[in-house]
Amino acid sequence: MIKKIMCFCGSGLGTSFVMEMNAKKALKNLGIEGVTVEHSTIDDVVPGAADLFICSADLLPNAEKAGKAIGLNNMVAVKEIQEKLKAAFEEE
Amino acid sequence: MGLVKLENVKIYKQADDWREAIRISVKPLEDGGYVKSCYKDEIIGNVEKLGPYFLIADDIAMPHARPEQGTIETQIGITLFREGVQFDGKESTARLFVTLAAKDNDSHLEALVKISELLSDEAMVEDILTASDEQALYQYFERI
Repeated sequence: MIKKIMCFCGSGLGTSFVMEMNAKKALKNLGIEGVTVEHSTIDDVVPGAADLFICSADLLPNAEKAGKAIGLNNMVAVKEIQEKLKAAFEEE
Repeated sequence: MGLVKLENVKIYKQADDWREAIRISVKPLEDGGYVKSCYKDEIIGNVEKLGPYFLIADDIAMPHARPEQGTIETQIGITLFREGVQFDGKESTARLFVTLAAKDNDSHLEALVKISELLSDEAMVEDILTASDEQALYQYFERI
């Protein structure tokens, strides 16, 4: 069950926040409710910190060490994040 | 409001490499007293450690570091390179650099929401990338 999503980038300031915003939009578009989305830095990415991690494609290997993860090439558009979130929830 | 100022909007033909592009894109913020001189080196160091974590879409980079890595005041600089800047290990290049200095974890978030909405529109991004001059480029960001 994916109940908590953590979006992260190198600094936890910019990119991760934009991803959090778009992840929330995408979940709404997909009609998925009851999921917490937050943003943080790479330092907080540890096993158990979230059920799903979202980051840039570059950081995906770091995220996969901590658990289920999605890597994005485009962090400003909702399209890619929505497609990948849909696939992640369908796998559950 | 008003986190992008005309004097911090620049257009260049090209940069020698990504490190040079970072230095160029941070310079207006350094000259304006929004960041310390170490800020650009901190960003370059972050990239060397983590990879180009701020490539937020094709053609778009958003260089930034943590507040404690040299930010004085929250501000955003816009730099457009006519020729794409290559980052190690990446196929896509970046032309638009939205350089962020954030003095804390939240003073810039409203601006980021607006920038993200602006840049999520691909046709708009194309217009921005082909802006004729700095004044024209600034107009896309003046309400940020």
